[in-house]
Amino acid sequence: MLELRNVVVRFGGLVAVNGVSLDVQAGEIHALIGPNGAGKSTVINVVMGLYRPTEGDCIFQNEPVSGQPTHLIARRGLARTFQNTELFTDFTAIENVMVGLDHEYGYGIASRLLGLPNWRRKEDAARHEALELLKKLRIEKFAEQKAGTLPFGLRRRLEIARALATRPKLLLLDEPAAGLRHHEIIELNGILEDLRDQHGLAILLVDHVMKVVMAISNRVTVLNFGRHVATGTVNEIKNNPDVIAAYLGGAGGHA
Amino acid sequence: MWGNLAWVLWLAIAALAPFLAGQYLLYNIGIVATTAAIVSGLTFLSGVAGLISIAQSAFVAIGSYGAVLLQMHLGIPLLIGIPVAAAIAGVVGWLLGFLCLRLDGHYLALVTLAFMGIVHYTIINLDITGGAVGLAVPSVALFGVTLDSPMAIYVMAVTASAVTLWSIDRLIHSRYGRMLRALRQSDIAAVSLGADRRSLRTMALATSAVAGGFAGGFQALQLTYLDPQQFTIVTAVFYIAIMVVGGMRSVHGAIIGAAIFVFVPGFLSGLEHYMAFILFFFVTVMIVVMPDGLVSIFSAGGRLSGWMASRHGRKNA
Repeated sequence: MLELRNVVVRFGGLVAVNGVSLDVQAGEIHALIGPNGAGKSTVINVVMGLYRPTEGDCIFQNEPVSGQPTHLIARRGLARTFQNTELFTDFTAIENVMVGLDHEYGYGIASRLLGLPNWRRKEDAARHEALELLKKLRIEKFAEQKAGTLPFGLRRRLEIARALATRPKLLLLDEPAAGLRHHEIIELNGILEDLRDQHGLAILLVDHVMKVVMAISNRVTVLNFGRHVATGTVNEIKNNPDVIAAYLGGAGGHA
Repeated sequence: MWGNLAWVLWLAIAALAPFLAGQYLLYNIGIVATTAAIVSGLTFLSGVAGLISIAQSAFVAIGSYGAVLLQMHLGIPLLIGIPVAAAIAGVVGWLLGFLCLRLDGHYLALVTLAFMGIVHYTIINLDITGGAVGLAVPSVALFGVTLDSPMAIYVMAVTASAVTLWSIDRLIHSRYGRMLRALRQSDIAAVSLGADRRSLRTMALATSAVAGGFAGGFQALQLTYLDPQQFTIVTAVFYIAIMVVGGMRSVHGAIIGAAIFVFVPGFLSGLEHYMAFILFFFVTVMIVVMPDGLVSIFSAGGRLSGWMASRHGRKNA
């Protein structure tokens, strides 16, 4: 579904990603792990078109994404969340999700200016679907609350709801579990498994938190210093000597 | 709710003024209306989309000179010429946005500043625009009747302004307004959700240009004379100041700001030479003390009454 082929990203002299290959298949949760600075977030930014790979290709559903503007990549069925959350903090939770639904429920300027029935219908339908998405993430209670006032754990979930609003085929999650408490992580795992199993969504999960990665991933790819270390199932990765070296050996990173 | 209440108030003032106000006051209320409508374009561009334009006066110039020239040279009646000129202003605004490589704060501010200068010097140096002398605005004629009484001009200008302000208000509360506000808050999140940053922002600039051109055309009817000195960087900055003082998040802020800038100089006419100083001192104070503009007094009032209601409720409980 999503394939990275020998992707290299250089910023001047700094090599953030050095020849990474990766494929995420339909209906799987694919984790991307590695010590701090391994280039994990850069991979998401490359896929979403924020950075252009210096070398290599990024292919989604057999068509290249590299070089396309971000909003067109998003409309092809890719959605993401952000490591430090990028919510629209002045908006209520439901308005945040409605931004993601904008494309689906479009209406023309004239229809709004003249007050035609079309705009009301579309706005109501968007609001209704936004509420359904908040329910799916179990945060519908906070629909009318300003996103900026929500506690951290709920903000992360609101970001997932908002990303789902674009009706993605593949969801890119940038450290969704960072800073979450134990019971929140359990709940998050349930939600992500649900999205995969009930809705057939593929997920590329970038995270440090092993309680998430090891519990729900179908496959895991490990990066270190921008380089590919290993790809395999959870058990294969746990016993891979290169991975153990990257995490515990001279690299100095931590899980 | 405050928004609807404000609309009732503005429409009541506009409707009652011809019966209660003298000619001088009526003229000034009309000027407040067209100025507010011009500024509402900026409200959409700056307050909603977060972009800074120093060219609103240029679009006002395109609307007013355009309408007058269409009448003088092609015989197009003013009431048709003004919307046509406003559409031209919109196309120019769209092109300006389209040609800007980046539609971000400083870049757009500089491009519009340069554009403002170009328009001003073009007006001064062309023969067709009357050069530095300016142009007299012909009277509006409708079905053979000449509409040049103060009352007729008031009715036309206020109606056009109300349409403009109402349209901008609706756009702010539409998916376009929502997407532009989303881009302002986090453009990386908005584009990742499929927002076309460039076309949305270009559309915001075009919209503000249409509002400026349309309301500007009707303001020309009120002023009866086009003087190139009305269309400078200074007047463009005045429009920004009006928006900031009134409040840049809603059209009501534009109306309040316009009222202040039209009426205060009248009250302080003895201090004429210091007017710019006084007004911009006021703007600076406003930015520090009331960054959301004077309109926020009303929402503060809303909070206050909400707070009192909750206290009252607690007492009864």
